[in-house]
This record gives sequence, structure tokens and C-alpha cells, in this order.
Amino acid sequence: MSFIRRTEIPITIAAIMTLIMLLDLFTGDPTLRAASTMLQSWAIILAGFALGIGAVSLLRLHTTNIKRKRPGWYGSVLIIFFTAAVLVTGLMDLNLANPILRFILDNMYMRLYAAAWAFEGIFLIYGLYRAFKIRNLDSLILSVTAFFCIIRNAAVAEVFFGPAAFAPGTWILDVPNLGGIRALMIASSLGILMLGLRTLLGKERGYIRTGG
Amino acid sequence: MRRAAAGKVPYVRHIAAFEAIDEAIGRASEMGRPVHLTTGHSGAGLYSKLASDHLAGLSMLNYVAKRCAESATDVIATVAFSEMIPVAEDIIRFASIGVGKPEYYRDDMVRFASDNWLGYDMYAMRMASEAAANIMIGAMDSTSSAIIACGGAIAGAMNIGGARAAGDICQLVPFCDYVLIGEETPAAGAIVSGDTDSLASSVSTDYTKALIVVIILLGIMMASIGLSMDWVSM
Repeated sequence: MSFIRRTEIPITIAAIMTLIMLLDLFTGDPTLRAASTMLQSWAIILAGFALGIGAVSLLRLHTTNIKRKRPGWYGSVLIIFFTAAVLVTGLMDLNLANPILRFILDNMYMRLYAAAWAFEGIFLIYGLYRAFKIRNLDSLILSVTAFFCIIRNAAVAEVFFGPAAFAPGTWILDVPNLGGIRALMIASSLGILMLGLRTLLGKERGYIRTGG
Repeated sequence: MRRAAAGKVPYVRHIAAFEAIDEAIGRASEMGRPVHLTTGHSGAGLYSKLASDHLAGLSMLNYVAKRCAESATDVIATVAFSEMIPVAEDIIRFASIGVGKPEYYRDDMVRFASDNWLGYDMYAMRMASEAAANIMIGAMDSTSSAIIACGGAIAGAMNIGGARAAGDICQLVPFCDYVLIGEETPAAGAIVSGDTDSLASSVSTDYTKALIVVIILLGIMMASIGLSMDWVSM
């Protein structure tokens, strides 16, 4: 396939699909609605097949890790073993009440899930430490505003300082913070709208550019 | 667009994070460690409302892959959704062909761990901790941002992040050396490429944005003085 076709065909398909979705959204025409619903169903089916690509990619990577004895290859053995175990168990009995599947979910997945959230807590504390180190005027302002916002959420502050303790934090959140967030939200929404438009017109080719 | 076609390169204001990307790749090259890039875990990949964010991240991958191929530095792209695997693989493959080094591309440069946040975040965190530069641009959600960026920060990687939502940006800021804020993220791929056509397209959309802002202000003024806007919905 020529260089032009390789680039132009996917862009044309993406543009037509996007146009149908947009026209359905703005006109509500029954024919376009039917076409849009069908396209969404196709997307779900394609995503199902894509999961197969994901499984193949995962297995390819980890079998290569094991073959070449890359650092941490024993982790790859565990990944392949547990992927196969969950797949086989799930195919044998798709019911979530399946005792083996239930055992894996309750005793492995949920434990790891809790551990991941615990990690997140530790990382946030590390982030706080990094963010609130006062190195210049900007970080000083950040630390002072953060202090008032923390006080606003600490019920104990009311015991010592009364309801006035919450006033600075409330003002920071309701006035400068809200204004800033709204400006950011409007600007970034317009930016993403424009990116969508560029993609629709085939001007944004970064994700599909071939051969540099 | 016409001016760009005539060869005039449009002006784009200086953004430190864009220059830092080249610096990060150079650093990775010197250290002999890979560059890790992720487009985030938010939404449901390329068929969700956040598809544009993922595309912005993939545009950045295009640029990073080219620079990495030029300097023979490994790039590892971690994707959270399986439909993004062939897209990301194609981007790296053609980027390497584009710089005349087709042998640079390897099958294991694009990695998929899981579309579940737990598996994805942990794997991406590990990849970030092995890299010299960790680039997180696209649909970054707050949980992933903190976990992946922290992995990079603890291991001494140069972290560069970019997100649109305020809640996600605030998780990136403490851990990242440079952050693209809000609307800089969707324009990142076009700007960083330096390609005249992409730049002109990005700048021309800024004029459209200005027009939209004027329409919004006009609407606010009309609503404030009590003028009816019913004709809009007719």
C-alpha cells in the first residue's frame, strides 16, 4: 500500500466516524442515531478483539523475559501462571460464586488492591513533603494556602480558634481557587475541542504519521 | 495555514516543559537507561470521551520515539488499553523508519500489563523506576499520576507530566520536574514536533478559541442585561 493511502485511509475513516457521531449528537436524526448506535456496537466488539491483542502482547513479552532470563524473569513466570489459572477457572465456570475464582479474588486481588491504596497514601505523603518544601516565593504561597486549606478540613481547629479558623481556607477555595479551576477547565475544554477538530480535518497526524 | 504553506513558521510561546523533553532524552541517552512514556489510564482508551487526550499522548510518543531512535535510546511505552497497542507499535516502528533506523524498533517497546488500574499503575510505576526519563502525557488520572510519577521520582528519573483536569495536575506537580498544564497538553504533540503544518494548525485553532471566548462573553453580556437567548435552541 502506498505511503499516501496508508496515512489517508485511517484519517478518512476516523473523520467519517467522528462526523456521524457529532451529527447524531447535534441533530438527533433517527437514521444517524441508528448509524451511531451501530458504530458504538462495532467499537465494543473491536474492543473485545483488542483484549485478545493485549493477552498476546502480554504473553509475548513475558515469555521473552523468561527465555532471555531478563532481571525479574521469575515475576514473568508468576504472571503467566496466574493469567492461565484465572482464564481456565473462569472458562470452567463463569459464575463469580465459583469457589476457586472467589478465592483468587478475595485472597489475592483484594489484598493487592488494599496494598496499592496503602502505597498511594505513602506516595501522597511523599508528594506533600516535596510540594511544601519552601524554596522560593511560589512555594511559600503554596505552603501558606495549603496550611489554611488543611485547617479548614480539620475539625479540631474550631475547638481552639472558633468558626473563624475556617474563614481563610473557605475564601481561598471559593474565590481564587474556584476562579483558577474554572479558567483552566474552560481553556482546556476549548483546547481538546480544537484537537478533536484538527483530528476530524486530518490536520493532527501525530498519532498516525508514517515514516516521520 | 496559508502563511505556513508559504514557509512562514508560526510563533509559539516558550514552554519550558517542551524543551525539557529533549533534555530528558539526552539525559537518558547519556545514562544508558530507557525513556518511559505513558498516556495514562483515564477513560476507556480510544473509544471513550478521553480519546483526544490519549491521542495527544500518542502524538508525543511519535516525537519521543523519533528522538530516541536518533540517539539509539530505548523507549518504553506503557499502554493501559489493548486497542492502543497496535497504534503505539506503529508509531514507534514508523518513527524509527523515518529517521533511517528500522532496526531500532523491537516488539517489547510497547507494553500492556492490564486495563485494570491496579495492574497498570504498578507495572507503569516499575517501568518508570527503571527509566532515566518518565513522560506522562495524556489522560492521566489522579491515582495513576501519583503512583507512576512517584516511582520515577524515587528512582531519580526526570519526570515530565501533562494533564487537563485540575485534580490530575495537582497530583503531578509535586513529583514532576516539568508539567504541561491544561490546554498545553492537547497541543503538545503539534508544538513539540516543530512541524510547520502542525504548528500552523495549532496556532490557527487558537484564533478559533479566541472567537469562541468572544461568543461566550457576548452570551454572558446578553444574559446579564436580560436579552432572551431562546432563538439559539430553536
